[in-house]
Amino acid sequence: MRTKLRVVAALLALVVTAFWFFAGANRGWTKTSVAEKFKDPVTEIEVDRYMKHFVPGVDYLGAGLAAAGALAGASCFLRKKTAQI
Amino acid sequence: MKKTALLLVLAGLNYAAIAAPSSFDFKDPKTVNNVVFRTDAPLESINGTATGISGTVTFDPADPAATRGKIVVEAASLHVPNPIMEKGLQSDSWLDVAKYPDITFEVSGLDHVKTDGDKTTADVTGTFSLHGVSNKITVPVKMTFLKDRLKDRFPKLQGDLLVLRASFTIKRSDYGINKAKFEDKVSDEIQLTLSLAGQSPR
Repeated sequence: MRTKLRVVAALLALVVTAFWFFAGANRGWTKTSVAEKFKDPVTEIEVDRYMKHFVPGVDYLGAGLAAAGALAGASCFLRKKTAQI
Repeated sequence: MKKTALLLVLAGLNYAAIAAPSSFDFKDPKTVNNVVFRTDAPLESINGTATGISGTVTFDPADPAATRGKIVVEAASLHVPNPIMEKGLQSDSWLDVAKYPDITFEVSGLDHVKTDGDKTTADVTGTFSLHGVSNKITVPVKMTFLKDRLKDRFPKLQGDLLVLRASFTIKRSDYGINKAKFEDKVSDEIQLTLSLAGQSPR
């Protein structure tokens, strides 16, 4: 059980970090929409039109690593199984 | 003599019709009108856009110094890409949009008016109201009068367009928004950039 928890913790940390990295390694806050510029051809006014798009940020990374750390920490409180003679 | 007098009266009326100020409506069905706000924070600057714009401005291309009007921004239309941040921004801890739904700027006068073709620049003085607090401020504004161009945006309509652009900085502490608090997390200064087009149908 102890080992399983540690393996899950390690996998969680790996998945969270990989997802954050390949989603753009955003060093700001998590975003659920991104801006696309639109220019009105008559007035030449530019406006940001927001499109739904999830971009994980450092808060997402931090929360994922904290959860992995909590799992790994919890594993320390479990007794190591000793072989019965 | 009578004919001359009649011609003079008609010419005068014609001039008055051309020179009369027009009322421009800034409620934009195409939701292009926007106010961008930006404030510095440790991790990244907070950038957002508000598109809930309305208001009316009267403008006379022959007398731009007489421009008057009011622009209204719906506070709840302020959008930032992080939903938790947006909820906090609109909450009673910050903008309190439920209690103060509108951000307004009412023009009271113009100075240093310069016109070059269809473009006019001026220092516009007015009352800026945010979070229930009103302050008199002066901001540089660029106005572009697009005569007979309304049909290019809305083919079934005849009329004119007036484009307003302004960029200025305010302090949130001047409007009672967490005065002297959280300045290590959110800057006191907020930069606002307005890009608005009003229509005056004939």
